[in-house]
Amino acid sequence: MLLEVRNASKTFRARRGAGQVHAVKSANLTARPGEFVAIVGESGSGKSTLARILLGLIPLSSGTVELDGVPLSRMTRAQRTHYRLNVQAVLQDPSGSLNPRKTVGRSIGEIVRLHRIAATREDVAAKVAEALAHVGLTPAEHFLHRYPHELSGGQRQRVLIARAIVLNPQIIIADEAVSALDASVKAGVLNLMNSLTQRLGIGYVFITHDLPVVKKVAQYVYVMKSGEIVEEGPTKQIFEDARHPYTQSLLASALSLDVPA
Amino acid sequence: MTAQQSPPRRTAAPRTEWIPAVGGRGGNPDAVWRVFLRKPATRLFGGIFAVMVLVSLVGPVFAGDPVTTKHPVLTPPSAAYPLGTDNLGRDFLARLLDGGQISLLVGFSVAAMCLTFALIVGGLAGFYGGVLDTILVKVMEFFQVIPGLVLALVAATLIGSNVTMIVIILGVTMWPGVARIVRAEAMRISQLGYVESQRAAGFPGLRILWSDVLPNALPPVLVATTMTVARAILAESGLSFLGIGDANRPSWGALLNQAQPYIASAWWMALFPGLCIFLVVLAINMLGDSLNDALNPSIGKVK
Amino acid sequence: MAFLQVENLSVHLPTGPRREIEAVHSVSLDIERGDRVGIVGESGSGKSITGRAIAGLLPTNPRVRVNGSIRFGDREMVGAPARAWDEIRSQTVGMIFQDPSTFLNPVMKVGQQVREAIPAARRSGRDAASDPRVLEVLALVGLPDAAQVAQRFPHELSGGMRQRVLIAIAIAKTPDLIIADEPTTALDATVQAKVLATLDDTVRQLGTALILISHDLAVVANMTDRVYVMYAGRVVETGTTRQVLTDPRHPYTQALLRSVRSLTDEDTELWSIPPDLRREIDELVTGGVR
Repeated sequence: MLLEVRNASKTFRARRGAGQVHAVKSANLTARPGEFVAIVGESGSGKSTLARILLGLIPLSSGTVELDGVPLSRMTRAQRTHYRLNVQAVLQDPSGSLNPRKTVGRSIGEIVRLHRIAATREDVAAKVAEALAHVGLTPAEHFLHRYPHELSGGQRQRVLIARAIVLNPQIIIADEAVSALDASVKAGVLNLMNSLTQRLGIGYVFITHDLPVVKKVAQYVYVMKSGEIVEEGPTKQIFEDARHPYTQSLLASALSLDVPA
Repeated sequence: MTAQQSPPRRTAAPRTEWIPAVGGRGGNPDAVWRVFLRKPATRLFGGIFAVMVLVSLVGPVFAGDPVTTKHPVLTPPSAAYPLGTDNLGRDFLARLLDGGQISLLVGFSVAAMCLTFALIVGGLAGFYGGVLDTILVKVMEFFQVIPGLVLALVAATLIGSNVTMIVIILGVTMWPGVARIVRAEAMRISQLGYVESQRAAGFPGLRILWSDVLPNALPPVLVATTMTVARAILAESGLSFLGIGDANRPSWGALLNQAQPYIASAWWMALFPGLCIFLVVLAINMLGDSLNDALNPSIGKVK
Repeated sequence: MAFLQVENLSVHLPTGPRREIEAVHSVSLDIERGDRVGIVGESGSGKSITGRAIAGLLPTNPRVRVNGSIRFGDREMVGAPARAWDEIRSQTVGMIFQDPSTFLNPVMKVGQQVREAIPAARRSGRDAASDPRVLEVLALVGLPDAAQVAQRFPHELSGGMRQRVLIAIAIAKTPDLIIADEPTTALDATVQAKVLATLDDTVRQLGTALILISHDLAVVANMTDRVYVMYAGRVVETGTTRQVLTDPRHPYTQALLRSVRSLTDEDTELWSIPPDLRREIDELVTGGVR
């Protein structure tokens, strides 16, 4: 399976009618199952827009998004469904990404029912339990009837991941999936994501502004600034031999734990 | 799907330390309900309202015939006639109870109508935005500027006045107010993370509107609908008082109207209907207020 | 006599119609003039509440209970009337919050908001954009073209600039202490570096004491000389920043550091505090009570 973005551009009409916002300019990107790809950039870089383009949530102004060579815009209904099943999302903002009025069981279960992965009550429950087990929220019964506000930030993030993996996707687009979490919880969720790659073969497109984290988990990095991908390459190369001045400035701003003399 | 007009806002999820809130928007739905029921205001006025509804529903069965004019004319309240009799010799208690049925029926029907239209129009407008929103807002504005009283007068002249007509006219003129609230809430909620998550999961728009947006939009809408019951009862009383009411089944307002020539002599004819209108409107307003408080608690302002 | 002495501070917050939680338990700190101190902990550790308690900015809900002692010099603030707190906040303590958008008035020009913080400037009746005191403060926080910026509304400025305006407002009244609660968490890395440098500069120039509250150990490492580590509402370890970060004694601090280093060090595997260790730490710190 190959997810490809070719020459993608997205332009928005700015609010006060004052011209246009070029959110993404000619972006090229590839992602595969089993691979951990990162898109790094600051606010306004267009990385979130690019994430939504990958998810088919925003139509492109030009260029294509292709899954195994078939452009999103030209997919049949069946192909679109196939796309949805295989490319899932874990979006940012753990305190707003779950419907506060739905229990964990219902939030995950309704996805199972929507895509007809299972139909009977028992089958759906089994699928939900399976997903919860994968993300380490066990025993499942303990979490099924919880509302989001009864969970910690890390637990909510895990529920979001469970929702994403319950359909057995090949690729997950994660937009700032760990940014709002404390250090230890962050490490835990990242570990989970890695283990899912090992166990289920999931690939990630990981969007973040947190460069140090990327070094730890990603294999390939795209650096975005003002809508353009200014540099890309294997993680090692980016961190040890960054070419673009912006990448260098990003690396320089990272604070280290070593107390200055 | 909504045509996104602007780039998705990336808001860094704030790491605010948890200063816990009691119930509140998007908070524990169970807690809100329980907080509401525990409030003394709810219990008192809920009780009054429940009693009035119950009596209006069941009372007429026991009270006797509101139409017979066989009783002595204009007798003050006594053992035989607890609320006296009116100028045509009808048992006033029976008439009051019957009137209650009409007033409350109008109140609830209008509120139901308003809620239905408001959810549909406001929900679609707020969720989809764009051209649809512009059109629907114009529709809301159109209905909002229609002068209800004039419309009622015209309709009364042309068709004659009856309860159905009044309900329709009131419903048609009052729904935009609630619809605005639905629209505002739908707009706010549609921007939230979980709506986007649902889209990404593959749910179709209408399904998201029904299952995620509207349920979370309900709290302020419910408060507004509660107030609409009260407003509708008042409006209907006003219309009946002016003579636009069903002559055969008078509501409390109509009874007030009929009591006009007798205010000095037969005080009970004006007092009881007026008191009923006052009580029911007060009770409903207080309930709505209480509900609002339960939904929007303040943990206290910072000094 | 210490400039600020907090002794056995505890704060109870309501969490439901009949429940409450002890967000801060028996916390003691002392700050001298010019000190640079950090309070570090995860969400729910009570660090923000502590900061707010010291600034007198806890909610006025009558169910919020504060016990213990907060003394500025010889002035006891726990139980003090609102007026006393107003005085402290207008002269002695300035606070910088994480989210400028909730702290800055969206319909008031930035220069005006800075002026509001300077009693002398307020009284002078001069226009904010031309008042030298306002301009001076804006320049001090590194805002280019202070006169221009003073005329802007908050939404016309970038996140980093807004945060600098917050710093400007905080220092405008030349406080003796600034409490900064997650001042750069919402900012991009490059902006964060600049804003922290600004804060560092400013505090150094004015000799103001600083309490920096953050979950980010790196921020604290770079900005403070001493640090208090909080967990479950209690201070579990304190010492010089260097000491605590290189040679932690408390199991929680050790676990925290291990986790943080695992996120950045190349050779260590990602490590998060496992549930049983967490339970142990909970037991150790709270004795099973919360």
